[in-house]
Amino acid sequence: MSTDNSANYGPQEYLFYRLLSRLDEEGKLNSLYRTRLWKLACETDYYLQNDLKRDIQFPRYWYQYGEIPKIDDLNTDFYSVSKNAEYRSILLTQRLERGAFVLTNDVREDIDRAVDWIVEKFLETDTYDIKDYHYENRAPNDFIRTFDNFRDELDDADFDQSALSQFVGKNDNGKGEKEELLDRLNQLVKTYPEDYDVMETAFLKWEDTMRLLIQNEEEEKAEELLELFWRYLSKAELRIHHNQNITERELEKWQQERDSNRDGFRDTLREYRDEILLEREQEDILTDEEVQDEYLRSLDLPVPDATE
Amino acid sequence: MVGASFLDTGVVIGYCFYFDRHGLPSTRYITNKVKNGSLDAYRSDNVEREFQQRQSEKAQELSDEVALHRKEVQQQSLPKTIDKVAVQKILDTCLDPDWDIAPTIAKWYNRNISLPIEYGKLVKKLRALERLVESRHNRKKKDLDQMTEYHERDDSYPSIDTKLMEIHWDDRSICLDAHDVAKKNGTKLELATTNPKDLIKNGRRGLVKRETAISQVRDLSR
Repeated sequence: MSTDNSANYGPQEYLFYRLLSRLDEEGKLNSLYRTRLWKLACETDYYLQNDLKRDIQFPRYWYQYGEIPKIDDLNTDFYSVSKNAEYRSILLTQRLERGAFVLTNDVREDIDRAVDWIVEKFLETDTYDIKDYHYENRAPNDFIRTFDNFRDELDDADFDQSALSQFVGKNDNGKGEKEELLDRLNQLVKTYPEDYDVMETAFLKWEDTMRLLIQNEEEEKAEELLELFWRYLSKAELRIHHNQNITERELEKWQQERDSNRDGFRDTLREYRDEILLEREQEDILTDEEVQDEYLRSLDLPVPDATE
Repeated sequence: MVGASFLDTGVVIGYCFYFDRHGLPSTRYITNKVKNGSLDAYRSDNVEREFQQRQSEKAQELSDEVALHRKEVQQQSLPKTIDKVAVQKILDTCLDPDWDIAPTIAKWYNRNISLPIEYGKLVKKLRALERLVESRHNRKKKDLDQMTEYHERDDSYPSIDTKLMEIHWDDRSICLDAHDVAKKNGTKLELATTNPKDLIKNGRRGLVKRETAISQVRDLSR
């Protein structure tokens, strides 16, 4: 460890290092997914801020699967991610001494306490449940929470099975799987935040397209489109509105990318939507006549009599 | 006036996109002529080009507005059964008067929704409308192509072009296209436009009638 580097390890790096060391002591590093480490680091910062009233300027922001640390802003060269084909486990590559970190004793003690508390609390909790805990307790609005529920429900859904359930009965609340998913989409519209204005119309078109895909039982496409939407929404809205300690330069870059992210999403969405609308238009001959009648009525023109 | 009509790009857009600001007058104009068997209408290569340039953007703009309206309706606390009072509330609070769809959607509620209607059914109808606005224009354009004649002008009429110089070049090209149709067919021809600012007001109608073979300029902007 060079002296030059040590100056770069501050309280935020210490939080990470301490967390990794504790997990290592517990023998949990081998099977540690990156996403789990990130959630635990963010939860440690929540504990520091909320319970110990200690702000260490930890950089984090909301993204696709919850909140993540802005890892590029930290000097975390003491760990690496193994390229194991099965899963990406974490390796602690350097052992650092106390003196390697520049921070006061008070801050060090608070971080130690926070890390101990978090490791104890979540040691035996699986990653999926940590993610759920995080969304339930930290999501900045109902929309994000509702979306996560929708994502889980779509993931669990089995339309083939749900077709069978028509014969063997419905879910506990008397609704079918598809119906529940469609209700959840309505809930997403109701809770869409006013300040997510860049993606607003893209969201509404996505929501309607998801509805059509679910009605058509196109499970795979629905899952693809869900992931795609959330990735773009994360870039164009989530990380912009929900972040802390992100540099001005980075925020400016994110702002500049907002419109192109939205346009990129709309272009891809267009392909899904055109295909499904075309199918409907070709199949919907009867509805089309009804529409035509309504259309003429709206113009104050007589509707042609079928017997004419 | 019985005679031929030349449709400018705004009228073609209005016919293909009923929910456009000019949708109602353009559709009425063409549909009435179809109904009494008097439609003898033309469109030109310039009109086609302008239409192609604006078609998909127009479809997105209008269906986005219907989607935003639908979102406002979904976010409002409305009764389970929508009656006349609730529709008035919807029109007052869920519709931005600056939207292109604003004048037509009010008529849509008036004529196409049988009251009372269940809230869920209304949202379904709004979704159907949103999809219709997005996809129906292709079919409407095909219908219009079959009902009207495509015309390509091969004369640049430089002296008339100079006399119409105060008109912006793209509108001027449309005037010359219409003039060419009138001259070749030897019939009375009406230029139907949704652009009164450039082709009717401030003496423009008189200028066009005086300098070209166009007999009338019809305002279909409202």
